[in-house]
Amino acid sequence: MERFCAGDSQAFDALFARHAGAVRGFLRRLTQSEAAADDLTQLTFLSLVRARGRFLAGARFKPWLYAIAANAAKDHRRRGAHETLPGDDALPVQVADAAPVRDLGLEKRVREALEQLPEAQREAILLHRFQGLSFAEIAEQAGVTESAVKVRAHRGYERLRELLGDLAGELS
Amino acid sequence: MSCARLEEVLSENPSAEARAHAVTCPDCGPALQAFDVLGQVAEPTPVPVAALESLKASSVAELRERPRARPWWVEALVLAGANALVAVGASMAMSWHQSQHASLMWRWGAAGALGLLAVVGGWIAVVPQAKRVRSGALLFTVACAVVAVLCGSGDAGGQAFAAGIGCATTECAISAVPMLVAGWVMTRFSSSGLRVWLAGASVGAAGMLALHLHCPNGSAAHLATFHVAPWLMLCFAGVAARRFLPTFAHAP
Repeated sequence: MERFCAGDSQAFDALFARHAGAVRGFLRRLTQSEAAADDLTQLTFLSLVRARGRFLAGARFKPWLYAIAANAAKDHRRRGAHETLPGDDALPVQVADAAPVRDLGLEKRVREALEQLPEAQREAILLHRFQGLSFAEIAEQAGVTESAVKVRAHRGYERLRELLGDLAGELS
Repeated sequence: MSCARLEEVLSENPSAEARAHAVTCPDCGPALQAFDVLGQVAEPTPVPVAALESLKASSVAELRERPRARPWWVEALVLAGANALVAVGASMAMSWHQSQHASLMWRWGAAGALGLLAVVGGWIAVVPQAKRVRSGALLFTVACAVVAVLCGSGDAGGQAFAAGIGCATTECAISAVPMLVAGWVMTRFSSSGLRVWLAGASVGAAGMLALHLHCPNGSAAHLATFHVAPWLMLCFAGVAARRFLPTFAHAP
């Protein structure tokens, strides 16, 4: 990060290679749109370059990067660019041979359930479950206390359990 | 409150003991079930590396154009400096009236608090990752508003309404230039109500400081209606206006 702040483009390339795919996945889940995820990934890394002077030495990079991504997504949503959930016909029907088998019905139900959560809970769960951030890192990203994040995650998971009750029953 | 073992239970590979705990825990049990369901969802189809690479063109161009990072305190200095210049300049430029404060201590105590809010508040509005400090500063703005009302002598003088409109107009006019500066500075950050409110409060404090030192009306009603209320309106206007402004960088 220090080399990147000093303008080293190779350091930026390394950061991009390491995090871009995961950030795009997070934004894809947050916005439910491939196009929006692409635009916001671009915007996230552009913001990273523009605001790198604001990164505090010794701070953790990953929560900061996801804070930028989440802010970009919020701004996108606030400006009315949020797209509605795609219907069944919008789900991918052809998957490459090498790709794992996808349960599209499950994915759709989970997506709809996540969409019903308040933004703060959804963000906490996406970062925790899919991006592998700890509650402490999510707290740093959201600028709140760790216990507040635990409460958000707990309430979010509890609500998801209600919404996906039958699926949870099948798994247990 | 959630269970203290929630994070341990909701890990990629929880221990058998943690799973056993989840069976009986009313907090962890449902959360673990939902966690497991989400684990069944496949990762989004990976984007080809070439497609991902195409997303970094604008960032690389920006990095090439501005290889040196601009430190965060430059923007803090711009806002705090603009507030300080306007507060001092307006205070010096206006004609001096007979003091209408409860006492000298109130006069200079309130002036000190408003000056502090104008300069340090402007700085704190910009400091990165200082949400708690900003929350504290927000409480200080409330204290400043109370002090600004309580510091008057109680002597209203004549033509209360016409003079009041004059005060409100003067305060807004004084605050106009630093408000534009604050608007520009705020577009450099992700939109945050707390940050924008504090920036607006610091800008308004610069205008209110000049009024505080010169206004010949010391009644609490006048101070609340024509000094503090326009200041609060400036803060609300700033927060509302920020929603329509573009964002240069979404970093906090």
